[in-house]
Amino acid sequence: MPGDKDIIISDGVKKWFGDFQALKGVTTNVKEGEVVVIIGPSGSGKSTFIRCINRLEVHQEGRIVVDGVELTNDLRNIEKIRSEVGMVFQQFNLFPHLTVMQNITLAPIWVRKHTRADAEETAMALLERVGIPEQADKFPGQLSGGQQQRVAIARSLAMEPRIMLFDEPTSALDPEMIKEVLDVMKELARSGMTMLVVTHEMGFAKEVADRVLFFDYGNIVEAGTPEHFFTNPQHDRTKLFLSQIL
Amino acid sequence: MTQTVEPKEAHERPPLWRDATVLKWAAQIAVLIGLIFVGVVAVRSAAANLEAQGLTFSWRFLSDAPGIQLSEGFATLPSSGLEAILVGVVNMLRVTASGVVAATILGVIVGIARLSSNWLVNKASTVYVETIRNVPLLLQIVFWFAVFGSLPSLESEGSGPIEGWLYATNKGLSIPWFFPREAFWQWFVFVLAGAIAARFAFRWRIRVLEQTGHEAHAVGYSLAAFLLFAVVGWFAHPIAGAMGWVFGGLSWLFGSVPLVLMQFVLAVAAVGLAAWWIKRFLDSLRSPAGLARLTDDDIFRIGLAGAMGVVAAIVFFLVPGITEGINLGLERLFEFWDSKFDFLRTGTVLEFGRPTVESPGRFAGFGTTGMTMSGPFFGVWVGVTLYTAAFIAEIVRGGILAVAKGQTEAGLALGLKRSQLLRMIVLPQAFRIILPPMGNQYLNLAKNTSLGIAVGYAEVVAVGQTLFNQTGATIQVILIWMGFYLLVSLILSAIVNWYNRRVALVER
Amino acid sequence: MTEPFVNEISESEVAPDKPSAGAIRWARENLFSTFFNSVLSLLMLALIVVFVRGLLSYVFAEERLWNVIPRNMKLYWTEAYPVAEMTRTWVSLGIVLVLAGLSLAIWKVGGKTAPRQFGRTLTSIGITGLVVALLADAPSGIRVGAAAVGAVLFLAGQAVRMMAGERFTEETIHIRSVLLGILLIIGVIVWILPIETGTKTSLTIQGVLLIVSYLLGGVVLRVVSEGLARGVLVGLWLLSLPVVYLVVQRAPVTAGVPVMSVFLPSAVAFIVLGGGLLWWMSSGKAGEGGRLAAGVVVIAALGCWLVSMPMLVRFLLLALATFALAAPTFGGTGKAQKNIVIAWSVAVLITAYFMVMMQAETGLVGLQGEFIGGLNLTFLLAVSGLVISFPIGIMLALGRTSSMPIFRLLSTGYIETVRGVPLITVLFFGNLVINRFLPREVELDNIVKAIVAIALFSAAYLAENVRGGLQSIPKGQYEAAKAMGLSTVQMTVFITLPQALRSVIPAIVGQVISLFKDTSLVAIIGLADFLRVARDIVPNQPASLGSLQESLLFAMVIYWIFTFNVSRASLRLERKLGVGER
Ligand SMILES: Nc1ncnc2c1ncn2[C@@H]1O[C@H](COP(=O)(O)OP(=O)(O)OP(=O)(O)O)[C@@H](O)[C@H]1O
Ligand SMILES: [Mg+2]
Repeated sequence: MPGDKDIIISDGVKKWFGDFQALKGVTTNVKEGEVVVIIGPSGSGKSTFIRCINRLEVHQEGRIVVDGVELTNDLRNIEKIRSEVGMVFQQFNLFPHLTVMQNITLAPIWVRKHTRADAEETAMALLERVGIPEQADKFPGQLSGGQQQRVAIARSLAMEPRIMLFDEPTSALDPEMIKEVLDVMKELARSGMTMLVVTHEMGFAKEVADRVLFFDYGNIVEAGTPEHFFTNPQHDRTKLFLSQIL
Repeated sequence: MTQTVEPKEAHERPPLWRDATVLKWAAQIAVLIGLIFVGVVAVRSAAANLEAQGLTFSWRFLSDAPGIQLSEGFATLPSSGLEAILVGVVNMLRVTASGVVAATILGVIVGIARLSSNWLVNKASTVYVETIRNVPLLLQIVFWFAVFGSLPSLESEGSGPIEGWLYATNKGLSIPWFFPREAFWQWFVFVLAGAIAARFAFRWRIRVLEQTGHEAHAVGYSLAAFLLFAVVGWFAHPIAGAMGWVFGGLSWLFGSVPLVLMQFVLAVAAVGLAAWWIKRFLDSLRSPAGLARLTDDDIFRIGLAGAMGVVAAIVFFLVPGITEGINLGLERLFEFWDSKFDFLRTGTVLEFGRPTVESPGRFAGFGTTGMTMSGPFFGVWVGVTLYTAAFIAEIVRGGILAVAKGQTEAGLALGLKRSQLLRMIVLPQAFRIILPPMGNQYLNLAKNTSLGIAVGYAEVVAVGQTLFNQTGATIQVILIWMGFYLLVSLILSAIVNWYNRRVALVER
Repeated sequence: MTEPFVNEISESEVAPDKPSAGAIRWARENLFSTFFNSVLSLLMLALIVVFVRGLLSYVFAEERLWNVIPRNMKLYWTEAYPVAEMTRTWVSLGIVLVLAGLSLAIWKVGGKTAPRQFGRTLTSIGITGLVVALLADAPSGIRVGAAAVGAVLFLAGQAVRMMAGERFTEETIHIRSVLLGILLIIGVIVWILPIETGTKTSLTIQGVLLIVSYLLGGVVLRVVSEGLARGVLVGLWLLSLPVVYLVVQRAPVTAGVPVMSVFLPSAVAFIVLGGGLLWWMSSGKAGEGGRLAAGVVVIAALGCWLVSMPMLVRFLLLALATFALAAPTFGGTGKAQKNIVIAWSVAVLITAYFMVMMQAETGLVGLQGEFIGGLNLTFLLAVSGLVISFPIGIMLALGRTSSMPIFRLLSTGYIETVRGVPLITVLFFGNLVINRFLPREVELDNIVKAIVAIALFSAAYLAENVRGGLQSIPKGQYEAAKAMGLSTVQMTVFITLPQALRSVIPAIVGQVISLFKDTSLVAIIGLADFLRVARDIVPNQPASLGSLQESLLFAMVIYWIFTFNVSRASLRLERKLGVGER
């Protein structure tokens, strides 16, 4: 359950792509251990927001503080944040020329400076946790989509992150594979990980989210607990959106 | 929603040595300064080395008489270094142009043959490509030159194959030809005008066709317009001598404009170019609401562009030699063209010449009484043609295959015959894929003609080598070589880019 | 030629499968399917007959001086290399062949081929022999011989197919046994040709060496792990280049070199001081101080070329700069720290050793001009040009795709300038001008200048190939790597470059082939490479006058054999890796 400490502080974050403003002053705080689900129509800036949190995108105004460290151009901070925030992408983005094992152990060895033996041990444990220990020596191309996404989750977890970001992790998957990935994510949520999840899986949101944020046109239009959100939405935009997807 | 934001501080700036953007730019600027420094040191040591050898770096050799003899060209005893180089340039362009034509024809034929369903044709073309591509071009050129050397010798009687019309001897292959004479360029003005007129006529008839729907004979009209101009020009060419006034005027202009003014113009152009780039860059960032958010990186870029413009402007003032050179070059260029024109001057436009043997082993007026291909030319020409054709064949084959894969079934399903399919669907599309790499091959061909030096063909590189052996101006000649070939590449790639843009436009 | 040709190439490449009844059908389908096709076939046939007959009569004509070639093998191979020291070239070849044999075994090159393919190859060689016998305007001895060999091969080809029976498309024949067979045949030919007995013996020894080292490779593979064996072998290959050319063939005399007074002390100093620096930088605690130190070392490494100091120090500083840039990224743990320092010490020792060899005078006597020539020089130019151009090309490609405008501008400018001018101008630049720009005490050897020019030229083309690969990598790969916390250098080394290089292997092989062909241009600036030997040196010998065309044709065949086989091998590799047209 969420603690009291704010692990992510986002204060008036604005972001432009050329002349297009993708974020128009996003303000929200995330507590340690909290699971936040972000929903909203396409192009509303969900991905852009969570990508700002590990500085894959650079915000131009406002402040983002992650675990007490403000995201600025400071090299030291960028390195620190990147290794403490894990990210899972819609397209998995596994490295096709490396085996599953090498995919998972690469960053622990070269960024965290673990020994190879330690890293492989951890990797095996993680593969076990996501349910595919037997695939360790295969290449990503030889796995199914669901398996690949679980490897991607294991790869992020191998860095022992304090925060995990998920950008539509199940959108590229067939229905029968979605469940296996969601199960892993639920288990992760229960273990107390701080998670920001962009998803269209409303069942997941209802079951594990502590808070739901609704994005539209680069703003948080509405925020609240899942019960509040799904049963009693306040905003017209939210109502419209929910009526369309439920 | 409860907000527990910490007290709002100003957006913190990290210390400079940890700021990612600053470090990025510091590294770049350091490398740039390092390179400039290395360049300066290298130039100074070159100057010292030259001095130690008693040489000076000057461009005088371009205007001095070089005292060299060239094996062929429009002036085999050039009166100045510049003229010698021009002879080389013209020779290089001659072999390039004829090589491009021949290689394209041969390459397209072989490329299509590579896809033939006829086993013999297919295999023969494959053998051709695989043999030619895998042997160094230089070796091939040397070989063809050697083969040329084993042709029969030229006698005053009885050399052939067709005496008086066609000779194939180790002194050259000679055929009858039309040669431009003193009034040629005056006539050529009309020919150019005819080409433009033909284009307008074509457009006009196409418009008529589109509006009325009747057959409008666009090709016929444009051809007629062209011929009209050419024929009228044949007789009216003395009038075109008026062009001489234009060139003379331009020549006078560049000869008498004060240096400072020209420097000023060039400096303004440099700064203007930088300003134009910055404006375009800012425009690409500007929002409709006027909210251009410049990152540190953007500011550095703008700074760099501005600095480059200003530095160029300053260089124009600090090194007047550049401007002087440009002025002089343009003055001479227009002077040269002025000399080709004279108002109301009449003369022969073209003259027909047949190969004539003067004495055993000697054609009369090499290359003026008949078109004579020398041994070195033959070696280079056959070598680059066969070699480039092999590569063009592969491009043609690839282009056709790329289109054929997807489109053949579609076309066949429409009930087209295979020959129709090829003509109407595959070739036009393949053409688009083929053209850009083809441009590259032409460029390679142009560069490969420089191998003519190995068989003594007097093109730019060979002439340059003779020149610096004579005058010691090695660095200057190498700069001229590189400048010349870069210019050729630039022009060719500009044409290819222009074509690509046009095709892209059509597709949209 | 507007008849059907839109067929896939594979379709039309199918040769007759069954010889007798099928052959007629095959001919009807592939040669006489339509009227137009029949005419085309007949025309082509006539053309081919005329051409082949002309070629054969040319080759077998009385006045051809083919015996010039075996008599001058030594010139082709090494030009003026002293006869007394020829063993050195044989040892070099031996080193390469041993490494080749080991590599063949350790990379498990080969695999199997189908009897159908094998039989077809034999048959077509046989047919070629018969055609020669039929068409050649040659002495009857040659015709009978060609006919006999052709018939035997033809029958053998048919026999192979017959024996395989039903299984003729299965891959059952080991390529290595075929290769062994070819090697044996070459051995027999070598003993028939009119060359010196010494050469024959040496060649035989080389063949045996190749086979023995291949077998040895198999044994090695049983003892050590495959990864280790491959790593060591790559290292040996890289070392073999300077060992062969600087040590074995150049026969350096180290007496005049200040080994004790200059080389040893500098090497030790670099090992100790550099090692200490690297130890600190790779500890993971150096932070910004480490970055600063690396910057200082890089500046020193570049600046030292402008002031006069021993070559050794310059090279070692360059190496130190490379290590210093890599240390913070790849260090971090005690073990990595130790490895980096060990690698540094080894690198210093190797560099110092080869610098000593380079500065030593050559001990070869009776040599005019450069110390090697002929095919030997061609290989030296091609291989060292490639090795040097590779890192430069990769740097240029990274620069051109980088997000930093100045680097992009500089790389683009360099690449486009070099690609816009012909190689010969770059060679002249290297040969005549480079020295003028360097400090006066640096005097580069002609071969070194040619290598530098070739490498600088080739790097620009290589860079364009690598850039193609870099640009084909999806954006997600970069994002994933960054999100995992990899630094830019780590991302490049582990993620982007390996993928980029793999996807452009065919293009790179193409570049290697043209590099090999392009080395022939050094003949123009006066080096005695293979082409120059074939064109100027052999045919101008009093005993060989008038053999220019023969000599050139021989050179063509040799160049062709190398380039054709490399391009074939690359096609196979391409198919195996599943890369290719994008
Ligand atoms: N690199 C970029 N350059 C320009 N515009 C961009 C870029 N990335 C995103 N955008 C724009 O920013 C807006 C927000 O994009 P974002 O990817 O955050 O949307 P999203 O809410 O994640 O949508 P989806 O549900 O489709 O993933 C979109 O309009 C998109 O077009
Ligand atoms: Mg998104």
